[in-house]
Amino acid sequence: MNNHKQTVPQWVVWIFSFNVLCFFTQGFLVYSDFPTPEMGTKAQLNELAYQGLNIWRRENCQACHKIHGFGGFLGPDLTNVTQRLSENSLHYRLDQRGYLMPAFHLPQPERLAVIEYLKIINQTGQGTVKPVEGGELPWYIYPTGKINGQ
Amino acid sequence: MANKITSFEAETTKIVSTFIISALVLLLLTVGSGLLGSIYYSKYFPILSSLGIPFQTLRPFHTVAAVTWIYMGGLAVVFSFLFSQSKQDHLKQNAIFRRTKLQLKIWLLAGILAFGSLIFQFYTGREYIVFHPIISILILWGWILYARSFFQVVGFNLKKQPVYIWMWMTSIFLFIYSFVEAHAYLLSYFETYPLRDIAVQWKSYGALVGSFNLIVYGSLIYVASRLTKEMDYAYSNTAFFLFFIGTLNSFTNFAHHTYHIPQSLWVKWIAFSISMLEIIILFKVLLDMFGLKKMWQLKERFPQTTLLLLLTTIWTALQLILSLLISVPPLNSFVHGTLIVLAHSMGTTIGIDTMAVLAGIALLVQQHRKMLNIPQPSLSQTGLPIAIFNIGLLILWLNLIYEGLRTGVMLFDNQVIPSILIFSKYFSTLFLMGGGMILLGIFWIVISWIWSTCNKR
Repeated sequence: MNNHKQTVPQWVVWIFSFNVLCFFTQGFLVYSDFPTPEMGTKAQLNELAYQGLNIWRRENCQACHKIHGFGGFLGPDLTNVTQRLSENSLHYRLDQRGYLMPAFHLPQPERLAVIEYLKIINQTGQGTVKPVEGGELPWYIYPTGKINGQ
Repeated sequence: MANKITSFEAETTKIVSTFIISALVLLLLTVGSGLLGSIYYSKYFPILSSLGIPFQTLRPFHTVAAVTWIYMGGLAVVFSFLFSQSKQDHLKQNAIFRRTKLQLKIWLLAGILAFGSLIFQFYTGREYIVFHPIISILILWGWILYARSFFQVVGFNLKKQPVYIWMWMTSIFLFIYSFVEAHAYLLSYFETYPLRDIAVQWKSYGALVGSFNLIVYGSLIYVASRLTKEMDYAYSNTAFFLFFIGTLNSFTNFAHHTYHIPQSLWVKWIAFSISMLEIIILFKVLLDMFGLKKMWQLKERFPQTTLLLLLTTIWTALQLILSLLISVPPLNSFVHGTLIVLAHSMGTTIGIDTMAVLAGIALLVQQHRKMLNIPQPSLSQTGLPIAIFNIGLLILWLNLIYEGLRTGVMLFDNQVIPSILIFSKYFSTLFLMGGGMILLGIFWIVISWIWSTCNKR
């Protein structure tokens, strides 16, 4: 269809094929959590937490809040909120309004489900990287999710 | 004397104009909803709350409109190319016209349903694909029709094709695969294991962003080839090498967002290593900036396109520097979850993708004006809205970077949780100012284009 006399360099086909191979390899690693499958299955939603997940989606909590850095910026990251706030505080926030947070007035069973979901999320790891003791900047963090090898 | 417009040209103009007008309307919805959403970062948010305009609707409305605008705008350029290539074969041409009209109708229906579901607050709670999977089927159907049209014109022998064809082709497969993958949450294997779900979300959305980037960069190279009437670059080793780096990044570097979560180390090291290859692209962009003076000589013939291409190059360099810095793990941990991530995402989608798509549309609008003998505006007439838009973007971008750095420092000093409550007192004012200037500049540009695109005589 193109009348241009030039052709594509030969190595392009090989390099493109290499890219496609990388894409599917990366996909396999993500889907299977290879070589450490226990990481991916570290936390699994139970029935109550699964109901909490559905409420999370229904109310689109991700618009304002992040889980592991994924979500909106208006509210705080909730990955480890169950470590920071008591259950009573969580119940209050899910029922009454916060500063910007609307009053969802979730009934108690739904509040329990959402809190259970957040408890499971808390088991998956740290949502924000904490500084090491002494407040030093973690210049030695490598892409391992560990600080100082811990 | 008016040019005689053939039926082929009339049909082409009609379809490409539909893409352009849809894209520009989506762009206006994007900036409008973005500005409204930014009010939630200020003390005036109760106004929106009392009007029943929740942030849970505004944010997904803004992100869906933004992504769709880039796709539709980029596809306007792609279809303009496809139609020009199928001119000699009437049968093929008519088949493509019919198929494209069906594609547009399907996407219009999908758009109405998607935005309607957001307005009525039916969410899936996902990041970009916030609408029901049934609507996703419509979107996918449209893409398969587009793929059929694309390969009917281009064929499958790519050995004689320039780099932009390779880019557009790759974007088709990447979109279809990643769009389907983004619905992996419907399977319990992913849905009930949060870490796996988050990893697949980042992977699929990273690849979707890569897919629209490929459409945009391909359109950029195509537009530049049209302006300069030189095809050498589109076949050069340099262009294909950069294509190789770009696609490898699109395919694999998503995990620079997930360094901190327990995940396969191999995934993270692959992502980190490949993210750093973007240094090569940065060097090339910096070299290109020396060639901007030559590009500027085209400003008399193509005022808006030249200016927008020039600005795209500058913003690309700035965004690459930022994205390279935040891909380095220690710095990544410092800025993780802060507004620097937003500076990165908005800076790239506005500064690079939006600017590049606007350049492509500017060329198409200029062609349309020439066809109808409408006089072309000069640079002095079109430069002001573009300047307002870019100054607004610069204010927004720098404001987000400053606030992100500030939050990062506070995080490690005081162990605060990043949230709006710790933003500086000027943040919301500058955020609104930047957003307002972007809206004004874009609105001015878009209204002038829609006016000239709809003008029959």
